[in-house]
Parts: sequence; C-alpha cells; structure tokens
Amino acid sequence: MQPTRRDFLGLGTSLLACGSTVPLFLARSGAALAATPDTKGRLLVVVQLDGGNDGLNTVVPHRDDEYRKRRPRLHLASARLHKVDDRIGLHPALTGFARLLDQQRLAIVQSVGYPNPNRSHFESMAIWHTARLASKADTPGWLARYLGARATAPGGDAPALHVSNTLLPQALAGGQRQVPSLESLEQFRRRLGVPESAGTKDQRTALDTVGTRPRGGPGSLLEFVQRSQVLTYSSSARLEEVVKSKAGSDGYPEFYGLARRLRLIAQLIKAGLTTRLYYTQLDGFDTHANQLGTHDGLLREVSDSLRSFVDDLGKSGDAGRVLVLVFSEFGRRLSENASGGTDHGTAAPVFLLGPGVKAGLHGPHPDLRDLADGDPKHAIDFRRVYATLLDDWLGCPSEGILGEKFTSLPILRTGRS
Amino acid sequence: MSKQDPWAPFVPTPEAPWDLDKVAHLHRRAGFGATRAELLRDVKDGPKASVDRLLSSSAADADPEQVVASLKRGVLDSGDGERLKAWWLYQILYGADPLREKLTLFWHSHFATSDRKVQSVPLMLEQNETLRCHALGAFADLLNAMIADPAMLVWLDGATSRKEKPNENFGREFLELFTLGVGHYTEKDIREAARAFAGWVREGRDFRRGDVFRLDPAQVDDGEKTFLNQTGRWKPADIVRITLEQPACADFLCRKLYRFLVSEAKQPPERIGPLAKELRKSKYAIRHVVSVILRSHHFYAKENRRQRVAGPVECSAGLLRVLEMPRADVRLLALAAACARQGQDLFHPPSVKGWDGGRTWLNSATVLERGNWANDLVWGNEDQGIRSYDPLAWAKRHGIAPSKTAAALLGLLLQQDVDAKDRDLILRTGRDGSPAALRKALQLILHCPEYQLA
Repeated sequence: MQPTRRDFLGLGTSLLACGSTVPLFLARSGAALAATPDTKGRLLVVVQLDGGNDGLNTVVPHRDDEYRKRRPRLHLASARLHKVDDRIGLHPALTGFARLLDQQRLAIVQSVGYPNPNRSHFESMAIWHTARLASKADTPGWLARYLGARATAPGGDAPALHVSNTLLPQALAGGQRQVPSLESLEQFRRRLGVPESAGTKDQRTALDTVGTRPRGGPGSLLEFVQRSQVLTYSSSARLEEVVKSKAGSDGYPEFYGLARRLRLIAQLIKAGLTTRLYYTQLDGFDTHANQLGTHDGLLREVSDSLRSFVDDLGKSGDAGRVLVLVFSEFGRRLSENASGGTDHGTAAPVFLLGPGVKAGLHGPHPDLRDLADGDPKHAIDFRRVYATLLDDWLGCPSEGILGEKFTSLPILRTGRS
Repeated sequence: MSKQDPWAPFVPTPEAPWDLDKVAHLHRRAGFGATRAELLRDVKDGPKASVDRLLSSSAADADPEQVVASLKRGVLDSGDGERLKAWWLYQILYGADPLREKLTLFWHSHFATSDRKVQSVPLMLEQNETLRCHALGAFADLLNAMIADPAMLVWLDGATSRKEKPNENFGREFLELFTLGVGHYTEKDIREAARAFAGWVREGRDFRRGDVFRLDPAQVDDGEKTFLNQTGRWKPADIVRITLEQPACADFLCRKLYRFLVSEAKQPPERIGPLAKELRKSKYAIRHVVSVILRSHHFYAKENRRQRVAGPVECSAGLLRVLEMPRADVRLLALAAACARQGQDLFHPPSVKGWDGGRTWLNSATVLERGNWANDLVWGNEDQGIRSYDPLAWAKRHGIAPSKTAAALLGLLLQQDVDAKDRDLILRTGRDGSPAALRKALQLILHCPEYQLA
C-alpha cells in the first residue's frame, strides 16, 4: 500500500487537522522530507530528586522492628501505607504510585547504590551523573556519552531537552551534543513579533515562504539550513496545536512545579518531536529536620505529577514508548536524628514508570541488620539500572558508554527475563 | 607564486571585481560584519587597503571613554559570570579591532576552558585577555602563556600535577587538541610532556584575582626527558619548541584556521600544505598566515562565500553591529543569554574540544532562538527591554530615501546571495517605505536561509 502523506509525517492528525494555522507548504515540505526521522521511537524521561530522598520512608519496610526502633518519631504506621507485599508498603502520600502499581506501570528497584558510598550531595550526584565512581567536574555525563554514541543527524529536533530553570545537570553535560534547557513552552514558540496592525497573517505566510523555499544543491549547506528551518517551523507549529487543543493537559495538579514541567514534556512528546531524552528535577529532599510534613508534600508532588503524566500519555497513545526513571543521589540514614529529620545515607530505591516495566518490587529488601557505617548496604549497582535502560530500552550498547559490562536487570517487559 | 597556488593574492579583474559581495564576505569572516559606511569605504579603497586596515587595527586606543575598563571593574567587583559575558560582547560589538576579537573567539574554542569547572570569573577574564593579547602573535607565545594560565591550570589539572605523580590531562590535550592532533605522538610523549609541565601549585586565593599559582622549584622535574624523539632536560618552553618543529603542528593549526576563516567543506591536502609551509616559514606568526588567507584569491572565490554556518555569537552580535543598533537600545545580558540558548554560552564551551560548530549549531531549538532573536530586534521585546528597530533612522543616517531602504538593507545583509523570488517579495513588502513595511522587509531578509551562512 502506498503510504499516505499522513504516514510520512508520522504526525497523526495534529498537523493536517489544523489547515488554517499550518500553511499547506509546511505539510508539503514535511512530506518532501520523507527521510524525517521516526517520530514514534522510544524515549526516556529522567526525574532527578535533589537532596537525597529518604528511601526508607518512601518504600517502607514497616514490619521490620529495626525500622520502628531506629525511627521512634519518623516511622510510618503500617495501617496508613499502601500495601505492596507483606513487608513493604508505599508512603501514604504515594496514592498515585499505588494506582500505577495496580495498573502494572510502576517498577520499584530496591537497595540501589554503589560501593564505598559517598555522603556528599555534590560528589554522590556526580557519581550518579557520570556513572563513574571517581569523576571530575569535566567528566562527560552518562547521558551525554549516550547522546554521543547515538548517531543522529544535526538539523532536526534537539537530541535531548532539559526542562528546568536550573543549571544543566552533569549527566547531560560535557559531550559534544549540546542540550538546550527550557522552562516554558514560550521558549519553544516562534515569537514573530509582528503587531496585528501590520498584518500578522500575511507576514507569517511571507516569512514561511522565504524561510522554507527549497534552495541550494543536494547536500549543500544552504539546503541543510533551509531544511532545518522547515523542521523547526513544523515542530513549533505542531506544538502550538497541541497547546491550543489542550488535549489531556487538564488533570495535572498545576500547583506543583514538577507537574507543570512534566506536562510540558508531555506536550513536546505529543507534538511528535524526535527528541529522545527529557530530563527534569525536583529539589527539597534534604530533610535534616522536621521531615514528616515536608517529605509528605514532596512525595505527593512526585506521585500525583507522575500519575497525571503517565495517564496523559496513555490517553494520547504515547505511553508505550515512554519510560520514566526517578532517582536521587542517595537515601537517608536508618536512624533518625534529634531534629526530627534524617541525615545523608546510602542505598535507596529507584523507580521506573510506564507500560514497558515489569511492575512490582525488584531487588532485595534493605537488610536493616546488616549495616555498614550504620546504613543498609546496597544490593544493586545503579549502573545496572543504566545498563538496562541503554541495552533493553534505548537499544544502545551500554558497555561502551558505562566503560564496563553491567548485566541488565529483569525489570522491563521488553528486556530479557 | 604559480597560478594554481590557491594562496596567490586576489587581484580584481573585470570578471571578478572588488565589490560589495567580497567586502561583506571579508568582514563576516575577519570580524562580526560591517556597517554600510564601512562596506562602501572598503569597496572604494580596494582589497589591499581593506585587509591592511583589519590587520593593523589596534584595540588599545579604541576606548576613549574607558567603557571596557569600567565594565571590567564591574565584573571583578561582582564576580558575576553574566557580566563577564557582557564585557566581552561589548568589545565584540564596539571594539576597533574586530579581527582580534574574532580570533579571540577562535582561540576560546581552541583552548576551550569552561567556567563550569574553573568556577572563577577573574580567572576566566584573565584567560580571555591572554587570548586576546596573543591572538595574532606568535603561536609559541600563546602556547607558553596557556601552559601557565591559571584558568587552564584548574581546567586541565595542571595545578595538581606533581613531580612524583605528573597529571597527564594537560599534556594529553596539549598534543591532541592544541598542537598536533591524534596520530602524531605516543603515550610516552604525553607522559614526558606532563613531566615537563608539572610544578605549579596554588598559593592562595584573592576575591578579585581568584586563585593565585606559582611554580614550585621542589615540584619541577628537571630530569632528562625524551619527547618526540629528542632527549634533554626539557622545560615547558622546550616542549613547545619541539612540538612546533613537527610539520603536523602547522598542518593541524592551518586546517582549523581554514575551517574558521574560509570554509567548512573538507579540504584536500594541496590546499592546506602551502599554507602550513607559510606558517612554518614565518615561525608560526598567526598574523602572517591570517594575512595570506585574507588576501588570497581562493578566499574570495564564490565557492567559499556563505560556506560556514554562522556561529551564534557571530550571527546575533553581528546583527546588532551591522544594523548599527543604537547603543542605548543594546541589551548585552539579553544578547549573552540568546547566544547561550543558541548553543554558544561564552566561557562555557561544551568540553575541552570546544564548539564543534558547522551543522551542529542547528537544531529546532537553536533555529527557533535565532529567529526569535532577529524578530525581537526588528519588532522589539518589552520583556527584555528591547525597542523595535528604526529602519528610517538608519536610512536617514546613510542618506537613503525610504522607498530605496528595503533594497539597501538587502544589500547590507545578503548582497546578491538571495533567491530572485525572495528578492521580489522583500522589495514588494518594503515598497511603501513606512517603518512597518521596512520592518517586515527586514524580518523577511533575516528569515532567508542564506542569512544563517557566513
């Protein structure tokens, strides 16, 4: 069967349904660009929890006497938890996670860490970011190395986007592929600037005409620029449509910053950008004092925001190609401190979300009786999680990127069992 | 020089006259673009006088109001990295020595050092001044300066390199990225160079000056070293000297300069060879080889014009310069941020390899930013305090009638490098000579893909 123009574009109805706003030439140019990369490929969304999330009060070993003993004030009562199995329950604020677990969309990998744990925020985060146990400020991040290993032609959508107003995390830095940061869709919108009185519509048509008229010989620099402009204008036009249609964008708890950033990521995904990697952050997990209320609020933000995100992508039909990784630089100490908080710890759970996961608990429960320097030992090297994502999800051999071979974990439906 | 020599000087002929296209090309490559008055002056003065002027400008007497000095004080008093960028961009926009600024940008990407690791505004500023000072001088001086440059000592760990345990980071990049390129040295050469470079220690820290380093005689390895097949008690300056004796060094540097000044297309060895020979003959005088390039007929050939993707700083700052945006309306911090969003965050190159440039400048996020920056300049952007451009004020300054202004702007920004259909549309749009019509015409010019090429 002859592919239709719609198939070529890989855009579903979004571009073609908006004839009045997207000039026909863009649809034509899109079709002419049959070589446009696949807009339906798999992608990874990373959510970084800054400050060191208290894993033991997130995925709670509530039946363990040691847990209650070490945390006389901070331990969570069994009855309030979302039950996962006989020994483990999720924090009461994780209602959204509990529902995703029921829907087979949440995998929890327990006791993730690395040898000789480092309790400095900066240094431990650098270890997670670079996937090197000894790293320097200029060591390229593991995701930067991934972007370098994945051959993508320049001129299309950015290979990765950092959705945050903070400094680019080292995970994405130090490679040759530059990763743009954006805080709002405004930055991804063409600001034409033409005042209404000057004839906005005609000028827009004229700009699109001069900006995208085919020119230059095959393979020439000029043709490359022209094609980049075509792709840019069409990405931006699709995005405007997604924003305007508001499809699925309600339902996010808008008062949460993380929810707003995830909604933005969902909009970019739904607009069919070829970007394969999104990265965002949530700060505030360094709960040294009066932790209970703060931690409750943070986990609610994580859980409600991510549930809306996964639901939103489910409705648009994109969920199947999206996997979310949630991690923090370390967990917190087993014993609470005198200020009603916890200090910097070591191993902690990592979360993976999406229909692609093997739902449920993975890895051993933290052993609260076998401690090193007062904290549970790690059982799973975080680089095995990375290897799983690279080998089994993104299809990019992990050994070259991680510098050594790590066996992937049986946590994805797509991966080895 | 023979007729086939690509580096023979350009001599105007009736078929290839000295015209606006070539003058604009010269200023795009050797600077950040030129104003209409500068372009017309150089068309009249001819190639020799035009290139002479670029090569002999002096930044020293260019700042009668001491703006640069006062901006610098502000940077050092505040330690603010954004103001550091503004300080440099001011010199790019208003300095009297555009070629030197352009090459400073070249060296910033060659000796790519990022404040991300250095974490010191004063040291980044000092390095920039060092690069500017030696930008057109002897390459040996530049290398010797970089060996002792404080920001570089932090960036590539020279400051932690000790006699007993030399750190190889700087030694490796010195050979791989700064001088010879992969394949022209061994791992042993790296180790021996690292031995010669060791000995710098941090002495202290001063808020305004940043970290201070000194050479500690106890940490200097004055033993015998065998580097690139030569044995002696080599000091850093000997490593530089021996490295520059390698033909590969001249070849490596000329390739990079060619890509920066002439074309991003792949070059056959017979193009680079004669240039590398000139460089060695001149004892690595950068000014000499740049002069040979800028005077050559090859440089002005049609096939080399608009053969580079203009970098974000070139493109965004260049537009302000070429349009003579009134100084009071220029927002340097907004310009720095726009360049960063377009992928060129000054003082933060992505890695020690610098910016790859070329086609990698463009993706949908950066193309959008390029367009938005141009649109903001044309129509204004209240949020950023940018006022809309006044094309009639520009026309009046140059004695151009409103009805001829669109054509003049086209000549200024694209010369003949424009599709006939686009030219018609642009002229038709600006025909009535009203400010709105001229802004629309200008915006169309800046949307032509040709404009993204330098």
